[in-house]
Amino acid sequence: MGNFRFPIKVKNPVGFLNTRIIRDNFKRQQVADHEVTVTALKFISRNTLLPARVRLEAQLQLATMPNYTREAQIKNRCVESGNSHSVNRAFRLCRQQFRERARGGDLPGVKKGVW
Amino acid sequence: MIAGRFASRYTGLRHSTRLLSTTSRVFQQSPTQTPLTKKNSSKVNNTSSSPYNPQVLSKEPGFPVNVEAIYHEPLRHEIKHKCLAAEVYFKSYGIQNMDFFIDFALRAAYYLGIPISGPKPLPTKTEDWTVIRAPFVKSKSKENFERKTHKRLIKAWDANPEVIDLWFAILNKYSMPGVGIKTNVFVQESLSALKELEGAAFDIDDKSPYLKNQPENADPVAQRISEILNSSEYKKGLYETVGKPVSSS
Repeated sequence: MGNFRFPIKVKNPVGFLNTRIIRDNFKRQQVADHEVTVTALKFISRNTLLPARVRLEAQLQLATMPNYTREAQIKNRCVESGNSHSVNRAFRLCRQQFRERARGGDLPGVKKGVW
Repeated sequence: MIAGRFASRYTGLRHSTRLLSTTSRVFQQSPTQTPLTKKNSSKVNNTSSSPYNPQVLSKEPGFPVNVEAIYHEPLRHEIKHKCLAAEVYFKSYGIQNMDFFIDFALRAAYYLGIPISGPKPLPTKTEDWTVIRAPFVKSKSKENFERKTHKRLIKAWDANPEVIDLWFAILNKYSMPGVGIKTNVFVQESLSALKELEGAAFDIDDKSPYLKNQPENADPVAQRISEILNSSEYKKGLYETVGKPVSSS
């Protein structure tokens, strides 16, 4: 029996690692690999000019593709802690890591906001 | 050539081939300036309304002209032809390093003979973040952070691309930490260049080996669609209902 969650070997990211980061990283790479196929199948299945049988075939093929090829499975995670809640897009850090770093002066240009 | 062109503007006294050479300068006060004595020579005197004239020393002989110029605003050449040669954008989170570097850029441009306009301050981008102070719950207590991105624009006029390249090389070599530079360079072509382009357009189909080797449909998604539709399962559905294959485009 193979590794059902990671059937394909991918490279791990550099830096902090935990299970959820590895999982998310795997999904990201697989989504990127399957992007062309998924887009093509979506085009076929939604194209009303094509016969219904062809469109159904494409829909079935999309539905049978593994979950890790779906873009919706990707979630931004904090690169320092792996937390998935309140992740700052600009720095890819969760609110706690961001605050610590900002107060420590590790983030260039970020200061205490006064307004 | 460039230095000679602008030198006549500064003096009726003397023409010089190099603006930086101290040998060709005249050790004499301009009529609007008060004569310097040793007592007030330590102070910079450019209080008079006349612009700073690099051809006339305001200090004792032997005081280098480029050192003296630091005490004054950067000198500028006159924009004559209004032909835009380059735009330089500076970006930084703080203005101190950036403004110092811009000052350097203006001086470098002057000594290269490039007419410059600017620096023009562009809108400052402010990013704000509000985060909860505590690592867990207590969400009423928050903390604000902000980052301001300052931007400046310098325009260079009437200069050859070679001189502009030289200027950029200097800016690159002495670049400041935390100051980003983006440049747009404008090059003027002759009308004959346009004719050459037109001639090339006709030859694209026949001669260009690069374009010839390109696949007809370079879009990977379109390629995959045609692959899928031409596979055995899909062909069946296409032929049964329509009678002939449908093109993917």
